[in-house]
Amino acid sequence: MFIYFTRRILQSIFTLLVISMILYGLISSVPGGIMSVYTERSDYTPEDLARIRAKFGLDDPIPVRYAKWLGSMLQGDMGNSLITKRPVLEEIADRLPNTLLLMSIMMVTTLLVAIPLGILSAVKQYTWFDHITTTAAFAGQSLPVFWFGLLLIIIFAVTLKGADGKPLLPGSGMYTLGEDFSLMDRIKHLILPVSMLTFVSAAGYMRYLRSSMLDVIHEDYVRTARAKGGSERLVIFKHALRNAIIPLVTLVALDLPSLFGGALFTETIFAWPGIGRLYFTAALKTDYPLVMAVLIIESALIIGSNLLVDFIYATLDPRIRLS
Amino acid sequence: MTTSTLSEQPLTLREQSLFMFFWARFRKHRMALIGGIITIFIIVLVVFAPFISTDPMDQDLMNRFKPPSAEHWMGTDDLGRDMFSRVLYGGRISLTVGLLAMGLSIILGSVIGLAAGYYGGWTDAILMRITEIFMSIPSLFVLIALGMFLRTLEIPFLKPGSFLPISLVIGALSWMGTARLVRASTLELREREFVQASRALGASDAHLLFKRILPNIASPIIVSATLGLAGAIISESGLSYLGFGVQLPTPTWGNMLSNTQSQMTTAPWTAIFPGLMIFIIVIAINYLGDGLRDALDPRHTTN
Amino acid sequence: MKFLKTVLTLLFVASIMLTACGGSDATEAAPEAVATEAGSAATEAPATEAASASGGTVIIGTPQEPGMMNTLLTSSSIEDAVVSLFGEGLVSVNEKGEYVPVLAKELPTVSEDGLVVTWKLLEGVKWSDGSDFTCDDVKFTMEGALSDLSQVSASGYRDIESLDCPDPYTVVATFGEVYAPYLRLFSYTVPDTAGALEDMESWDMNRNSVGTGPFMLTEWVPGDHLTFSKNPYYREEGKPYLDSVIIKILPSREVGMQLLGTGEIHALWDLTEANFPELQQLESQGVSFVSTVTGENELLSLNFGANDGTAPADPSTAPHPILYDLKVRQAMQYAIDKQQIVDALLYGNVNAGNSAVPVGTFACPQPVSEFSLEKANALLDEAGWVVGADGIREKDGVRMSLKIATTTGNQLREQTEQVLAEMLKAAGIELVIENVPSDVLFAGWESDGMRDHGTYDIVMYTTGPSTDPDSHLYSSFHSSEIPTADNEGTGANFARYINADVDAWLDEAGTITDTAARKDLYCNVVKQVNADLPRIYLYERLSIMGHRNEFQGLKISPTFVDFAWDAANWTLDQ
Repeated sequence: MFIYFTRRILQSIFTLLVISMILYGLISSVPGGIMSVYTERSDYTPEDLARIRAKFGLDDPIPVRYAKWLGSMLQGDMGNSLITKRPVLEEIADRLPNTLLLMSIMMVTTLLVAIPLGILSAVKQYTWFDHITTTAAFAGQSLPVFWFGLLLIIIFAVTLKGADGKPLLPGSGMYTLGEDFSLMDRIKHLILPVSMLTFVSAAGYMRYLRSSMLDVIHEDYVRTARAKGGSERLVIFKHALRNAIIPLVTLVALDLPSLFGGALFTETIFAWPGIGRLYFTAALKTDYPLVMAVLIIESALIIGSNLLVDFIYATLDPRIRLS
Repeated sequence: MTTSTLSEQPLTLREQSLFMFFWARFRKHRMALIGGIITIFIIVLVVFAPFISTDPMDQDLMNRFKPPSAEHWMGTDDLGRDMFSRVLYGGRISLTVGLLAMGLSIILGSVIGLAAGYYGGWTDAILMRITEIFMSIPSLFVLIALGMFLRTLEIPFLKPGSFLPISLVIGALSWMGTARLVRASTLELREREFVQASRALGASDAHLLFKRILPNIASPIIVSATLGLAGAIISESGLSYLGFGVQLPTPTWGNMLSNTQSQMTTAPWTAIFPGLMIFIIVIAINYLGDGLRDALDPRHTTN
Repeated sequence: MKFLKTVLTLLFVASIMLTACGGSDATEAAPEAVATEAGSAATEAPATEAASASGGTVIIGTPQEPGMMNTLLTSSSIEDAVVSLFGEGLVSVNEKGEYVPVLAKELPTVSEDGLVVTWKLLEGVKWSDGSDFTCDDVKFTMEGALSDLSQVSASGYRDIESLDCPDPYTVVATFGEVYAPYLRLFSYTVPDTAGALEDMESWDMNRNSVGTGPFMLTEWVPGDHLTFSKNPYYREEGKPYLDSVIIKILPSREVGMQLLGTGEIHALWDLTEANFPELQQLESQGVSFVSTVTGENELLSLNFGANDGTAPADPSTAPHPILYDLKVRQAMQYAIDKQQIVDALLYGNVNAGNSAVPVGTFACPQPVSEFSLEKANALLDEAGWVVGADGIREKDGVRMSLKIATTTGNQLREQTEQVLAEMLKAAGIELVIENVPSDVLFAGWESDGMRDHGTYDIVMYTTGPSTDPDSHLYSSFHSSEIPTADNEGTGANFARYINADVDAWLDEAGTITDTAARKDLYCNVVKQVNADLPRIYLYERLSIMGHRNEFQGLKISPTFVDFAWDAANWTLDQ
């Protein structure tokens, strides 16, 4: 077991290293948009431009730049943003709470919606309830998420009006500017983005849960339990659910990386100041250190969540442990 | 397979559950059939775009933002261009990108999966390591960064920002699922009797791979391809919406949505139709894929 | 039955989406209410007395996010503008393009030989941290500009041999050689309390404002907004009128237009002429706009040299097969109806292009070129270009087909290209449109930029002089500013234009400080350029800001100060 874990961890570190090399090479090859601001202005002489280029560290060849970057990263320094000169980790830390707020609320609402719906539609298979929920889930999985966001804005933030004549729900931002803190205001601003994300995400979870439940419901041991005379509800909640939940838990674990970087479209449409938008702006301006930092963190999270799932399975399933 | 007593209709339990069961399967096939028909319909529509519609680049500045009418079935956009034509021509690009990307990802995935599953040993280990590396790359972020790069890439005969590099890049980042699927199937088949028998008779590796194994893993590949197409279309549209995919003025369903947020009060049809097309074709493909999965893989019985 | 239900479900969803098509009707009720409010507010007494309209918070939306508050390290125009809310210079440029003194008592004086420039500073001005503004700060500003870490241009400062402070409020700069555009120096100032020069990248000032201007930074929520409140040390009593200004960061200009209409923001930055239609539609919702002629032109740069990348220093050695002939260029200009472009695409809101220096202290406007298809065709016939079977001219086996490139994703530019293509086609010239993203179009020599290497026929973009035309005219038209491998790609003379008279005028103007004399010389250059046509000027650019009617006092400076000009006098009707 211990050997298995160690092996997996070492493999993961190796994977992360290779990814960092690939990504760094890729990002550094993107032509320098950060210099174009200066090359356009006529009062910048070649001396000025050369000085600024050197300062941004753009003169070294890519492998050298990578080595420097890796060296400082291993010491915990991921570099400074070329725009704000602050450490990129501080820039990320500034926006992280906003993305976390949005995504964790979305996680919760997704589960709150998907679990009951998934169970119920499995239990009531072939009824109209099942029918509508599966259709809706299908629709949710097929929707382009950004289009759905635009539609929500059209309907709720533009067309429908509240009692005061203003739009029913705010279409952008985290809170209304210039006013004091109001919980109601914050909640109102969360409604549309969270709804958009929840609908799309819950669709997948619900279908998955439904299909795991159906798998389990038809298993022999459930039929046995029912034959033994237990009530319907007992059978379901005790046996079926418990076994169907395990795949769900792994699904949630695999979705953890999205807590960090999963809200890009949402943040763009709803003007939410989070990591997604930070990355987008940084990519546009080729702020290399910031772009690399976000990529590496997200990759590490993906690798980490896969490890986590492996561990969960290894712990729960003795067959793997002993192989 | 008769099912449980979980439904609550007035017919006798056995009767109505059987009825429900078969009706559900029939309906399912019906939805898959409809999905297939819609997909083919849309493909035909966009292929014959030049015969059905007018020039998608034709600007008519006197007629900007006109709502849908007899003359312009989907209205006009911010430069007075006919939305219907742009949607059809946009569909050509979106679908081409989708098909190319899916094609690349299927080919890559199948080859890698076959090789890994069949040869095993070091080949398998290395290929699986590579698969794992690609799976750990945050694809949306990387697509954006690559999109920045590709906008400037000069390829002979093609304008910068054309559809080809985007298709290849999306395909190159989405083959991993297929690879795993194919590998699993290959591994399983490798040990089956008919394969062993062929080998005993002295068949070569190539023969085994192409004549024995490949035909039997065709069904997961087909299902993978169908669902991969839907995914590729959504990827391209998202990327183009952000401005990193195919560049305007060449229309795609994604980039047609790019600057519609300010037009929502005055010309919402510019935002509704392109997205609606994406939605329709993706849901059609998904229904089709779902039906195919049921049909081709008899062991997959739930919902 | 179940099938029917699926269809019904999908129809239900579809019908929700289609009801949104009626959106435009539903919103008509609202604008009337808003319009009357804005109307009545506007007819109240204008806010000349501080008491009547003081207070309030103005929210300005911008799709670009400022990340840096230190002028020496800014890297985008929004940063320069936002910094100008608290940072001021000795001399600045007002909304009419004129130099005006700000922290100096009057415009600087120059010695007889042009080598010594003296500024007299306002006395009693304080920085927002309470310290005094003196000549030491000016000296520090110069050192900052010259330091290795700065990201501002060191032009001009480089030529200062010594900067002295005979008293705290007098600045004397002695130049090694005459620096003609001396008025552009010290358009910004940095306090000497900022820190050591080598630590510039970690100065506190990078995230906090320290300035002499009317506002100071009090809150910064990264990614969302910046709040600026009154500077308690501001030198004018009772000003600024506003309590605070919030710079709100938006995901896109489109969202900004939406919020401007609903009143969630009071002004939207960085609009262009392409937004006129939307602004007109928003008029009924209480929105108007202010604009300033920036002095820049949207123009066509024509390549005199071969377009295969030879990048000749002298185009006569490797001439462009079509554009090297003056008659061809003249014909092209005759074929272009500039006024039509202005009327059709820009609603008549701008002037047709006519001069490299259209406004400002050195303005030299010219009559707009004539539009005459007959003359165009006559010239081309004369030049030996014969109309082919497909309507496109040919000569010596060369088809008269030219590629035009401009930035992608810009609707107005695409429209302009379409219109130009139609116009030129009537004269038998084919225009092929091949646009590229802006970082490709403006790439420099090392990145194989097309303008620098001459791998283009026609490039359409915007450029122009800042308030002093010296550097712009020199780098655009002087023969030494042709980018080649030998001079490492320096210069912006992308047309590869060589004219001895122009060189002489530019050289002379760079050595004298007399404004009137310089103006004459530059005017000669302008006229010669209009005759030789390395550039065809299409239309003059505006700097536009959309704002709600209740937000008054907005003025735009054509320099980096942009909308922050005169912020102390902004008012908000509430």
